[in-house]
Amino acid sequence: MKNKILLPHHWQLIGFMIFLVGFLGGLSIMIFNWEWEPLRVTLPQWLPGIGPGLFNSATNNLTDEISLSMTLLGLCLICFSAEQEEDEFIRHNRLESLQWALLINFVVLFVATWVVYNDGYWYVIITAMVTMPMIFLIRFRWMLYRNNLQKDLP
Amino acid sequence: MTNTIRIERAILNITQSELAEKIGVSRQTIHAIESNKYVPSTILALKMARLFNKPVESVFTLEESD
Repeated sequence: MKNKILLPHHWQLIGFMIFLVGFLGGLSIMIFNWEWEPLRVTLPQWLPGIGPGLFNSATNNLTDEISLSMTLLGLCLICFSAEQEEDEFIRHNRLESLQWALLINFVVLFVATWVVYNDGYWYVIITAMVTMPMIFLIRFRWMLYRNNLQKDLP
Repeated sequence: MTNTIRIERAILNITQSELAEKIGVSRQTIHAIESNKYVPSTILALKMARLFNKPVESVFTLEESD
C-alpha cells in the first residue's frame, strides 16, 4: 500500500529551506515593516472592491506576496514529503496529527472571532494560514521522535 | 485486540528490528503493535502470521471490548 500523494523524502529539506527564507521574510515584514524596494510593481488586481469594473491595476510591493508564497510552498513540501522509512504506522500518525491540527485551528479561529476585532483579526487570519500546517508538523514530528526513543527489544 | 508477537519473536529468537526488516516496516511499528497502541492492517497481520508460520487468529485475538 503506497501513498501516492507523497513526494520523495529529500523534498523535506528543499521545503524547509524555501520555508525558512519565506518565514524570515514574513517575520521581518510583520515586526520591522521591512519591504524590499525593487519589488514595487504595478500589476492587474482582481476584485478591487471600490472602483470601476471588476479588474483594476494597483501598485504594490511584492515582498509580502513572495514571503507568504514561499512560506506556504515550503510548508506544503515538508508536509507532503515521505519519511525515510514510510510505513502504515507513520501514515496513521500523519492522519491523526492532521486531525489534531485541524481541530486546534478551528478552536483558535472560533475563540479569535470573539476576542479579536478590527485590524487585529486580519493578523489572526494571516497567522492561521501558516499555523495549521505548523501544528500538524510539530505534533507529527513529536510523535515520530517519541516512538523513536523506544529501545529495540529482544 | 491482543497479540502474541512478543512470544512468537522469542520462539524465532529475533529482535523487534529484525522482525521489522523481514516484513518491511519500521521498528517503531512493531513496538506500537506489541504494546497494543496500534492495530496493524490485514496485510501486515497476514505477513507476520506467514513469517511465524501460524494462522492469523492464533497471533491476533479479539477482546471483549472489540
